[in-house]
Amino acid sequence: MDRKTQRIIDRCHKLLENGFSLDECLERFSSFDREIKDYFSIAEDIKKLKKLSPSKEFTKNSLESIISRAGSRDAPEKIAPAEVSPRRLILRPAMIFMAFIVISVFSFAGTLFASQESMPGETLYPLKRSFEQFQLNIYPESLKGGLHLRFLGNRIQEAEILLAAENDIDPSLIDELIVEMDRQYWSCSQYDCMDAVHEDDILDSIDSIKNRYRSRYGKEAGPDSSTGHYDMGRNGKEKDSLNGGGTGQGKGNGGQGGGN
Amino acid sequence: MSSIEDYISKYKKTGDRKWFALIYEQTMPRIYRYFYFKTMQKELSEDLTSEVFLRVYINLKNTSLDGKAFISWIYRIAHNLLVDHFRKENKAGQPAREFSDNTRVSDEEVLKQESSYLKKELDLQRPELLSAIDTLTGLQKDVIMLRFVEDMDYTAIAGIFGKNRGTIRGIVFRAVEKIRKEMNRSDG
Repeated sequence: MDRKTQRIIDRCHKLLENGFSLDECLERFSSFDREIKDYFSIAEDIKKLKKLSPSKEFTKNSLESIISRAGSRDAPEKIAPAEVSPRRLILRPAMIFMAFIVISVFSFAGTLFASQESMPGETLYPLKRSFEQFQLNIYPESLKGGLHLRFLGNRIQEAEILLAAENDIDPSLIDELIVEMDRQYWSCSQYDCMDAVHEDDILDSIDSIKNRYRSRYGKEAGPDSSTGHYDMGRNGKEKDSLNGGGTGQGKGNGGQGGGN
Repeated sequence: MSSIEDYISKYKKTGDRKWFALIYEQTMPRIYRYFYFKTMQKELSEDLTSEVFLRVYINLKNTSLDGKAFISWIYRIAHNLLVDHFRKENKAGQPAREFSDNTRVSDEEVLKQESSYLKKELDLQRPELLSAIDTLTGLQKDVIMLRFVEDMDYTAIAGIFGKNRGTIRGIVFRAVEKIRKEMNRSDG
């Protein structure tokens, strides 16, 4: 049967659906008379299969039987709960708890590791500082000097980076770093944590930072001296020396006089 | 007159069995015919029909089917059930009557047993029609039956078998052509 014949038969189907008779269709497409007759004669014969029906007994009783079977099929599913062994009952929460602990530990360790590279003003920076404080609390006295020295180095490095930045930096961040540098230097010196050469280098760095801060922001770092802020930079050390009757000369004034 | 769509909606709303009975009354003969057309066995067709409606009864409330989708759904259940039935039969060592889209499902012996009953029951003008239908593939039989016996359109049939409308239309014309040739050969 070619495509054209198929299209004609489809159109006849439409006509029949719209109340036309087969004769009217044949009249309209008379050149396809034989093909249309053959097709619809077979279709009509097949349609006789509509008369097929199940036995009366089946029709009468089958629905009841289906409903009762459905009831018996549902029942065991509703009554019998899934059996879970006692061992599994204990192990499952324990495993969930262990997984939670492991995930928490790894997440925290990852965050802590990431925080070590953070800078003042960043989200993770307070964590970095808290971890330093935690280390100071748990380390033995013999190692605390080394820790203070390391933290002092961290503050110097952070201040150098902030001062070198070309974009505007909140001065209070550098200010807070300078205060912290002084505090770490003082704590470190309590433990005799550095030799003289090392100490000079550190003091040079601190003074340089303070001078750059002053020249950039036009003020001293930290609370002014009238509020009791201690200055542990070279200037402060000179002040201590002077007060104690020391030499009074030195590389003070922000390291400017080192060569004199 | 209420449609099957109303019965489904009322049954899902109320859970009253009388609405399910009306759905059953309207659709059961169609499913029975589908099975009979494929197996040519009255008892087997009744068993399979029962199994289909058991599944419908258990699952209908949990579906979101309207009337047309319901008819497609119920034929899909029937089709899958028949596939399972023939697979099991093959596994159990019965004579191989493999069932797939391209194979025949009734055999000569079964057809002979049933043909006299059918000729009488259906008052066929041309009894050779049954033998001719039996030469069709499984899918051709399905499609022919849904198209002419159940008066379904190409789109609805396509929905049942997951094929497109054009494919179903092609299957119908090829099947009718095959039947015509078979019948002419018998006549000749």
